[in-house]
Amino acid sequence: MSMSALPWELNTFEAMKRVTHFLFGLVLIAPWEIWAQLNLRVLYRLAPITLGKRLPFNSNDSIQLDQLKFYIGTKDEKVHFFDLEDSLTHTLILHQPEDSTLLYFGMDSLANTQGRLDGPFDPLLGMYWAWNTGYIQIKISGVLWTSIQSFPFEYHLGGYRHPYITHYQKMVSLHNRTVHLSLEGFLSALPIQDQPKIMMPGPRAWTLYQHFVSSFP
Amino acid sequence: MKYLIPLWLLLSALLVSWEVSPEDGLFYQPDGWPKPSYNFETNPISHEGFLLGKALFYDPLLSKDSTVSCASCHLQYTAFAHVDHPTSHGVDSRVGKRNAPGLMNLAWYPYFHWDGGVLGLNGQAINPITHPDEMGSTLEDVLKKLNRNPTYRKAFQNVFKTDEIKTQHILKALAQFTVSLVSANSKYDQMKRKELAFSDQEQRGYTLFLRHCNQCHTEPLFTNFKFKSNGIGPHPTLKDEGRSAITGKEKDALTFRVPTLRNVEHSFPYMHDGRYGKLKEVIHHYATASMWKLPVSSELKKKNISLNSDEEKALLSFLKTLTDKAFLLNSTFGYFSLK
Repeated sequence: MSMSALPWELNTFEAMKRVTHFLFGLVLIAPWEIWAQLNLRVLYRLAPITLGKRLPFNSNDSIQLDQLKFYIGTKDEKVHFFDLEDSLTHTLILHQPEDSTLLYFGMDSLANTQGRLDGPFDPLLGMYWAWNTGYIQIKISGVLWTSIQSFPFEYHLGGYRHPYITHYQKMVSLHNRTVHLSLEGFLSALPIQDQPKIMMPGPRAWTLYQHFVSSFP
Repeated sequence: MKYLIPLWLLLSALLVSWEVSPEDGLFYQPDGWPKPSYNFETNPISHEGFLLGKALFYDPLLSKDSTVSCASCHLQYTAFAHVDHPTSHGVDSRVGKRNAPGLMNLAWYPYFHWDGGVLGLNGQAINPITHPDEMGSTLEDVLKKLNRNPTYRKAFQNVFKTDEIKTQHILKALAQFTVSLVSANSKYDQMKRKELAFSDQEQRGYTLFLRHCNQCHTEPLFTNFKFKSNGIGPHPTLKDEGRSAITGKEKDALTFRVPTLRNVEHSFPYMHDGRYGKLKEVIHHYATASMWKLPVSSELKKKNISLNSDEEKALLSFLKTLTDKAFLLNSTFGYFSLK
């Protein structure tokens, strides 16, 4: 029986088994999981950001994000895939959150090259470079509108070869088991009008990635 | 009880001999070869996995419009290379910028592609499947097609014990087939095993080869897997910077992986951009240093190879001894479908 079968496709035994698992999950697992969570909220000017929505930018411009995906990790979940579009990815495992915690940004060269192709490493998530072994650490795309014209932009930032390694650790502040990522600084650092696409590791990608990491408090 | 141990030993011996037989298609380690780079623990090879990988390799279902398979650019009789164009073509007749290399002895490769950008065989196939100039598909689409195909679902279930086919299963199945493509039974190999002798001309060519070529095209794999400039200079229209696209280093500009020379007689055209159609043109290129353009590897600069036409012919004769007909015609590597 496929795990992806719909409820009405299950036989009685299978359905009862699922219900039992669900109840056990509610009673035993769910409280533990809530306790062990770290939430990640992406903000712009103090409000949660939404994909596809036009936002004021600089003094007279506006900006829209169409995609925001990145890798981040905690000491209990070293490599976590975050996709702004998928709220299920907005929670990381962290067993003992305090006022601050160590976060991992990107992944090291071993994680990039070990050849695991499942879980957060599944190329299906769209983060595998393909032309090159390894993973894009952050994908961000959208459109900037100025008073004169629009500028579609797309950045695929990453790299694990010296000296342009996009892998950092940083202590960040928590509020009620939540980390707030404020995107203003990172978006302002993107060279959208000069270089609207960066698709390869290198000095520019490395610098921008540092701006991204700086966005975490 | 006293018969059990001898029986067990006999069965084990039969099993081992079955595993290493070149005829059954599964990977085997030729005598005297180095240890493979491929980590077989990440993807244990089975007969069923090999067959599934072979079926995928020959199935155009992996391309966006189900017109192009891996085998479209990697034909067995041409050493799993692509011979009708300098650079290979994919869906919608789109043409790529590199010559599809032959596929053999991949278990020993530390990295793949002409620029060495891909580090492991298990992940290699993502590139051709998703590249717009090759199969132009997406992993989502391929997974969808395979998951709704009962024959494939059953085969994947059999090999990977999974109800749902995932990315890693496709890639590992393909790798089980491609890692098994071992070519080690050419006339050269038979000469090394003292099963036969070279002709005088082949022997002269071999001597020349050892003096001029072996440093980069190192025996027994006939490549040292390094990145070199061979003096042909940049292609007039294809913008291909080679290895530096991966490393970002100026010194790696226009360097490409040294290709194996095994089955080189059958894997034309030659060079990363398929510039030369004939093997004798390649030999002539190396034999006439005055024609070389910069950049050139230090090895080639130092050697400053100069061959007369008899020596070029002798070298050609030797290179033809690297043809492994048993590999090129092995029906276990040929077209296969699960249907």
